[in-house]
Amino acid sequence: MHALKLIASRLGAVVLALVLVGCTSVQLVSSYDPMIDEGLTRYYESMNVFLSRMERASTTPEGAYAPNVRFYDETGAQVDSLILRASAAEPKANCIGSDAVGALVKRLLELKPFAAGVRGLDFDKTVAGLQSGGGGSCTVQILKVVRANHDLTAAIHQHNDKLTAPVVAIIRPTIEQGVRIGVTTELAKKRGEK
Amino acid sequence: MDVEQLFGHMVAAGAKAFGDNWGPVEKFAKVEFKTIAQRIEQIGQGLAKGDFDLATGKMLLAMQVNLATSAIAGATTLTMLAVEAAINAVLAVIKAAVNSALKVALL
Repeated sequence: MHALKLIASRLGAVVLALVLVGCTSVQLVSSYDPMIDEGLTRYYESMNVFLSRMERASTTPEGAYAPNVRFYDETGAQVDSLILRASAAEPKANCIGSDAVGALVKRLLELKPFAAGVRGLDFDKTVAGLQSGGGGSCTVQILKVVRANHDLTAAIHQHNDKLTAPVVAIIRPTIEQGVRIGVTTELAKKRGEK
Repeated sequence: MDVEQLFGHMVAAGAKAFGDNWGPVEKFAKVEFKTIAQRIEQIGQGLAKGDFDLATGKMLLAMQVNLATSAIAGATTLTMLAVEAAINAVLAVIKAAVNSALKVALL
């Protein structure tokens, strides 16, 4: 059975139960958090400027990894604070850990062949983390991806000791997409609250 | 690498996972998956041209796999918001009907 069909099939029972206990509204997803919305936007602005600067400075000492470690640490810490905030809002939530959406994990595994041959990329472990609910709510997981890709950007910079134009051409939209997914879901929560 | 084939596989996997709820999130998921598939192709081309080494290519690809999980988490959030709205709409109707019938604000 499709996981989300299960939700639909249980909808009637849920509504009845809620009426019986006197509930007149439910909340399945955390509220819109302007701090996360604004924090992600600020993070993207910082990274966008930084990547342009690194691209221009790729042949100079200023573009090396060492002088820029502090930037990675500080901006990474900003994302960490957003993860902490999202975790506190839904401390017991998980995104793909419940029965209702557990089937998503199975389908996610279908993407595994596309990651085959990438040594060091433990796709099973990533999916297992989602399945166990260890990753927190969907908002937390979206923010963790932003953080993980931030760390990978730093790792690429360290590995090459520079960020060249072809690399930045891939990293910039990748960072942008991760932030956009986070902002899109936050704004959807905001619209849902009206 | 066939980017359209990769994109097709991703969309098919998403459609199966979300079942009847695929409709509300289809546009969102398709845009995200398409972009990821195109970027994976771009990484392959960059490797072939020698724009970066294999280790860099692997890290760039890892970023795309991360994004795929983020896209699914985002689509799940949108679905849950739709379910939440549906439940609350039903509850609102019941509340109005009960209070009207009893002529007391019971709910």
